[in-house]
Amino acid sequence: MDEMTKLDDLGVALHPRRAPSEKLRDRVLTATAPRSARPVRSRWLVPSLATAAVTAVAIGVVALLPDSGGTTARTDQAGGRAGQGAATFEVRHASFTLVRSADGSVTFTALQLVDTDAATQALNAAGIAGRALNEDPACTAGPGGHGQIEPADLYPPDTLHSKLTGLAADDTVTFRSSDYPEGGGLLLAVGTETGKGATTTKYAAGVFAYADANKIPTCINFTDPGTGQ
Amino acid sequence: MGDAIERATAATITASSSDAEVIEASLRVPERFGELYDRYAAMLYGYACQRVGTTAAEDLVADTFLDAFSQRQRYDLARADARPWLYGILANKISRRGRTEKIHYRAIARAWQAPTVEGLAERVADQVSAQAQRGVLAAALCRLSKADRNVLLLVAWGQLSYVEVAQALDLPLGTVRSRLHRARRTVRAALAEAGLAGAAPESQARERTS
Repeated sequence: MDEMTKLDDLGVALHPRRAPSEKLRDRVLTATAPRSARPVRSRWLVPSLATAAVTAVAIGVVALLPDSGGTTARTDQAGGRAGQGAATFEVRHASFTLVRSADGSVTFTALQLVDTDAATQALNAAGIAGRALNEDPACTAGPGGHGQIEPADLYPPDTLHSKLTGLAADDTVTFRSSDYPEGGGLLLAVGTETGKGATTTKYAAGVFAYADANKIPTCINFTDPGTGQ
Repeated sequence: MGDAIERATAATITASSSDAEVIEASLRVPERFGELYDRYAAMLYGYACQRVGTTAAEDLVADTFLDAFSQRQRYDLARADARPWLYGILANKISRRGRTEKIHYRAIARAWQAPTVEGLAERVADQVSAQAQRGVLAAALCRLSKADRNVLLLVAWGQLSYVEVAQALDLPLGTVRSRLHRARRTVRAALAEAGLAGAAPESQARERTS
């Protein structure tokens, strides 16, 4: 194996697992758009968020939030609709969809890194305690200061390995309130999967059940501190 | 109205347009530049993360695209592929942050010399020698000059051919070859010194031509 192959190996190890953030895209596209086409988000997003907070019980409200990515390429439209009673409904957001079925199961699909406030609000409105988070490579919470999940906090305890496998497997997860005990909750985690030189990004969602909702972390990082992958 | 029609017409141009066509179109319709971002942002971000880590990478990639946007009038439209141009802008920005880059490599070298974290043993047990090798490589990258490192890593991680590196850094092809030769020799020596040799002779090394 020559030194270039070894450098390839180092490059793969250092390659990020996540794609650049939507904020970066927003920053670049906003700066390169003609002035007349630039979003005026700061003038109306804040009032919309305030409204959403006040009327959190109205399930469809998160669907009315504008795409925080502010992109022109994404055509996801606000399409939240309240179903009959509280039994079934669907929330559509530019960064995710959440469907609660009549049997109480909730199906979440990550379309990109999520607007965590909106996703958490939708999660809670669907009757699920807990919070939604995007993977954050700068997170230093958790054991060893690496942003990792503490397996002993999970319900059942020490289920981290299988759940991690699940995280990388799909962008859609289904769960229900019976997945955690009373006083507990779910961590809905969203991350990205990118290969070397990849031009498309796969978004992955995973669910971690906690016995105590207060122990759900406020940030997460699934990068292996040993390998950086 | 005419402007609206022009924008609508431009929007119908498919994603199969070459980079040069997109850049040319963006001179009339600035929003078209976003297509270039969508094509290459992930690639450039990955490269920047490899060289300076995730914290600094986003700023560098943003600055790269913003500079490219402001310089697009000067882009050579005969070059259909804009990758070398974008990599060149990014590489020069990274070079100006040489200290950040060195700190990044030193951290890697330290991290991969550290003991395995408890609980992750099964995931890294087979990678001990690979980690040691990576640590040595990271330390070797620190020792290279900025100019040599730029050439080496545009080939190794940017996947550019020698000709593309020459375009990216605005250098004669011979200079690219000599810098690469020097950089590789330094890295080989570092590996040998650490007992991690096994390097193939220079003559067996591949040259990316695509």
